[in-house]
Amino acid sequence: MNAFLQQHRDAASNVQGTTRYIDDLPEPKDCLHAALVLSTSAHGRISSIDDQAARTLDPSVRILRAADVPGVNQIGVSKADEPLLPENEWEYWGQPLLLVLASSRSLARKAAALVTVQGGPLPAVFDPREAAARKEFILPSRTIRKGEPEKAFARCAYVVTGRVDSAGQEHLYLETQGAYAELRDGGKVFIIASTQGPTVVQKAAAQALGLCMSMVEVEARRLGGGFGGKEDQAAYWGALAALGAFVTGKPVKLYLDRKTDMRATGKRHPYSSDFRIGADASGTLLAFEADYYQSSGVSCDLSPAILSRTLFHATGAYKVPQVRVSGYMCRTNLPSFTAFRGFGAPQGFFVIESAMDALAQVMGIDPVALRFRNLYREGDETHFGMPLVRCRAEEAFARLRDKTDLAAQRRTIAAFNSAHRRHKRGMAVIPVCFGISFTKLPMNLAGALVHVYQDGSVLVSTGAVEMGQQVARKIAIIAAAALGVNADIIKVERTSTLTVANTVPTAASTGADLNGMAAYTACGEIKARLVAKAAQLLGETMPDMGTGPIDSHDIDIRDGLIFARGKATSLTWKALIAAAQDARIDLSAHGFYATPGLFYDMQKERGTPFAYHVYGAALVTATVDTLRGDYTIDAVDIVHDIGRSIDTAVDIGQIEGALAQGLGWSLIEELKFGDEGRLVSDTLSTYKVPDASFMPQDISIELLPEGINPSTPFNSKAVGEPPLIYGIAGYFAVLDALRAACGAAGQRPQALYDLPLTPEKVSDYLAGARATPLSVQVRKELL
Amino acid sequence: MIEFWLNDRPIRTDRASGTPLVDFVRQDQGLLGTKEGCREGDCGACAVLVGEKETLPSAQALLAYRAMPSCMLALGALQSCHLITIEGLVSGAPDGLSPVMRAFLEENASQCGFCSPGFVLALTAWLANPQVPHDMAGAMTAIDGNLCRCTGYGAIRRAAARLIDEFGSLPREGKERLAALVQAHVLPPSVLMFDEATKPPAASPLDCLRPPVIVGGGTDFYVRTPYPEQEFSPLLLHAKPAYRGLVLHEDKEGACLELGASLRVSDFFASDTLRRVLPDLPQYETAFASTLIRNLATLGGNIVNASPVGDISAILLALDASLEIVPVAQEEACPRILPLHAFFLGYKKVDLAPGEAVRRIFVPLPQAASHKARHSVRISFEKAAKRKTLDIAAVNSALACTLADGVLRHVHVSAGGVAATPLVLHRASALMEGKTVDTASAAGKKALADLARAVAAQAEAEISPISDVRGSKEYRRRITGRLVLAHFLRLFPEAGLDEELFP
Repeated sequence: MNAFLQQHRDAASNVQGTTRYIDDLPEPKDCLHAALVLSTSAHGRISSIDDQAARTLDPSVRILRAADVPGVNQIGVSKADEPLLPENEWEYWGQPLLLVLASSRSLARKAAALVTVQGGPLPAVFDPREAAARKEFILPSRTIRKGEPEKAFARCAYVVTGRVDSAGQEHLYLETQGAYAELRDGGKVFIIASTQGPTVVQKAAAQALGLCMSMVEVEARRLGGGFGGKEDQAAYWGALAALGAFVTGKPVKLYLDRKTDMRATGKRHPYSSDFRIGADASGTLLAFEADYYQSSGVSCDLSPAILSRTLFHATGAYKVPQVRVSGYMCRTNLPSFTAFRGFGAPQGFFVIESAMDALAQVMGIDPVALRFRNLYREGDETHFGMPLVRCRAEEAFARLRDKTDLAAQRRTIAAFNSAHRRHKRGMAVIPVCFGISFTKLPMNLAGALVHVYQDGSVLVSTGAVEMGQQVARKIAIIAAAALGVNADIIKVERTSTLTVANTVPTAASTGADLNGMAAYTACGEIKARLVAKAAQLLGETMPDMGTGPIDSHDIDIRDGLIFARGKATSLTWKALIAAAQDARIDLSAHGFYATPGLFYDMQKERGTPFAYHVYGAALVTATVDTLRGDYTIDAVDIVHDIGRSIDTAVDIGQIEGALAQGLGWSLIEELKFGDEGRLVSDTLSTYKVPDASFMPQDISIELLPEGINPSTPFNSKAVGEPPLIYGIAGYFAVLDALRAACGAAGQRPQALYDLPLTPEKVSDYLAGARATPLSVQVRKELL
Repeated sequence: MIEFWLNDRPIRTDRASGTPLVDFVRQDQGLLGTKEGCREGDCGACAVLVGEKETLPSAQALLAYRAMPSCMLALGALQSCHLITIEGLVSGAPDGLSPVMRAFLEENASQCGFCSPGFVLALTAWLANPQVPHDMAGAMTAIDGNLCRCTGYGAIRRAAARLIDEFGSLPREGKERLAALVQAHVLPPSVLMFDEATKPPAASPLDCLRPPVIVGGGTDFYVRTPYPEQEFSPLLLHAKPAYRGLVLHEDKEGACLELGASLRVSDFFASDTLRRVLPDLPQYETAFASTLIRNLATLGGNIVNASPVGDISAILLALDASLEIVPVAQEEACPRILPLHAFFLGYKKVDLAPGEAVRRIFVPLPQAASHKARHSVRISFEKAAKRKTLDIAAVNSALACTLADGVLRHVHVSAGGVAATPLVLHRASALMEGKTVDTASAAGKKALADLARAVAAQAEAEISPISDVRGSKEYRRRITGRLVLAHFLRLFPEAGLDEELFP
């Protein structure tokens, strides 16, 4: 293989079409294919199931229901409220009720269509506020408090209250959910799943089948995208495939068609929130309060951890001395909403940024100045008591301000707007401060298994799942640096419960941080053994130059060469490995990493839940066509804190990709449920995500200078989620343009905080519909 | 029996002609690089290259390659074609990497990889097409039917920039261009072998007796029927070159454009004749679906599926088109001629008896009374949707008219998404008919602005939209009026209506 191909090994198979996803796996002759019978109303009690026609369609047809689950019919992780197949009731439109198996996918689909499930309707609720009014909660509410905001509001010159809504978001991983399962010798269940968390699938399948975890093996090869949608919810499909294989004794492949995936699986949580924000006469924030009504869907899933992140990011990148934020997990008859890149943080950021926007309007000041004034600074403490060290919020914002000359931009836009009647331009800047670590503390761990083979080649297995974020490339670079060899001799293996056990899902942006550290640790152990061996070998061959015999401290391995006291020796990596093998030295090691320093007191709601924060800021400019009611995003400027980048191309790719998803969520991705709770945007023709023409041509990304970040490999920083927040600037840029379009009326403080800001809403706003007045209190005596 | 070339060899299959190609490629042929992402033509992961040889009016045979979504492509439509999948591109390059693939690797444009083969094929087709611009705008149009959820398109754009640098100056002539692309390994050598070995298929009559289903391109049919029965064998109009004509008939009185019902949307917009007689029209091409879909969708199909928001329907209604309808089993029978606006009877209901098909579409091209301009039909098309490319309209509208000696004639305003069928807004049109346009004087400008407002108000009054996933009825009503104003801005740029309409 040539060097170019070697370097791009993984991506090469992608562009050549040889990467094998779930649906591409070879199917043994007796393989059964799965289809599902979904519920067709939001809530009901099963009275009868007629599957006669389906059963007689073909001898291969098998129909499995709740009673066929041999173990515990339950896959809920945080709470036992998710049956694999429902026994009596369905609780949302599109819930899988029965698993249908047949010898071909078309037969299975046909059979599933012949099944009728009868049942009486039960009451259903879809609006989180309505669920809250009925006290329909998944778990008790949570409140984080700092000081006494209630009293502080009395001292504020300005107090503004408002309502903020954000819709859900479909993951739209290009590869839908799926799994392949078969029985192996000794009754072991083997599953290949499109999952971010092989251990989650392993645990769910073992529980449902009544097996020990040691009897279930799960591997994840390469996912066609995940974005959080395959963090916990892949367990469902893995366990169903395993159930099919277990009951029939035949291999089962389950691959959801797009519509089934969109209807049956969870998405980003819709939120409806109320805020109250208060500032002194100069615009310094004094107090902030918010209530977040999270539409959790029918079951717990990851909702509490997601709500945690909303609460932790409630004040965005701003310092607020007095805070009270409360979150409610409202049980709605909708698919169980789940992890999605950002994990509750985007919803929290949208609320505080809406509040800042409202405050700037009321005060009649430049929102950029208001935002800059209130940024977190070094040593500031969050509302949950975490001191911010190496805080770079101001640095990023100031760099963006200088780089883009924000003041000049504002003038250019004003000039444009006075010169154009029909088109109006707007801009917005959003700062980011994003905590890195799983908000569920026990999840902050990783393992790795490293083998150096006799020929010197290296195999690294970790808990990290490759889903396009190119974590394998980062881990290869980390392992190569740790061992002192070139990355092209490192092969990063698929993720399997066989090689690394008890892994956490690859999520929360932590994949490279945690697994990279585990790999680094394992490589370090092997390297130490090799260095000792090298010292011995070189000590025997190299003359003592009067500085004493060579020992381990004198040896270094770099770029596949062995150095003694800083000088390259004739000993090569290959020769050293061969000698070590001959000397019966263990060339394998297991590495383990648990993020140090994390603690959180759930009673007091105080602690340090994050290893560190990622900072940044983005400027977005947009132009609205006031006649047609649509808009274009013109340009995006980002200054982003990546620490020391392990691979800049990978990091830039993550920032650009997250930005696109953030802009999509903020502007055009409209997840719509009908009055009866049916997802009506259940196809790609009704649910639009950004395409190439939607994204601005003009995107500039600058990485802040390298910084210190001791809890990660080589001072790097996690990159997956934080840049998604930049998309929110797209919302406020369009809103800014809309205000310019409305002239004097646009200067009256009013709320339009209802994401996504679709062309329809833009048109409505321009027609005088949609916007609601803000409730404002100005204390003249304090001005 | 369907015969065609699959990558580097001719193959024959007796699978049913209506089999979706993606299933044939993946299940029968085990070519797994073609990915199934949505089965409705909206993601492009299943794109393939289809080479087709056609006889030009000059009697020369032209081989052209287009990218198409294989989930909507009937196997039978491949008769006599050259199908290239991603595996075919790999086998054509010495190290297994075509230059398009290499550009993707160099720019890190593949993350999860699921969409990558589709993008590679779409950009390969773009390089192979001599008729499209090989600049960034051209590249972005080429991939307007491909979704990537990982990269945010930045790296894909950079990969396209590399390709523009590398291949921006290839020969424009079709045959030379293909040879140069084979030389550069963008296309596999099988392209030349296919060209050598095959002749354009002879025109065949519709030899099918009462076929159960008649399918145009399939871009709507397969959305509604993603999993047809195994034996599904429709009559595939797309595969009938005889139905793809575009002919201009002219005499002293006026002219008429005759369009074959299975003329592909991409061929329609690319036609030199169309560009000459309706020069306003080609700019709206990219508002219609995506490159992948335009390469497959037919004019007749877009009309017959009777979507209330069919873009082609809106355009042809404004152009006052008529349809020629024939019983497919008796092509010699006397055809029925029906105005397009009378063809739509209700939601997805059309005036077409079982066994009948639309054969041709006639677009009248009335001449301006002055005879100064031979073809003086002006047309504007507008569409309200979330995305500017590959999106279905909440509302679409077209306005066509002639303007001679300052008088508006032949005015037709159409609108889609505002009723159960695409509509001609007769009363709104009538308001304009015979009106004088004077863009030179201030009074004339004001009168035109007043007319625009009146027509917009009439359009809003004349429709009966409903609320659904693409928009509320209030939005639809309002935006219809706005699109009418937009027509005026487009059609009379010299009038400076901005000042009048946006004081």
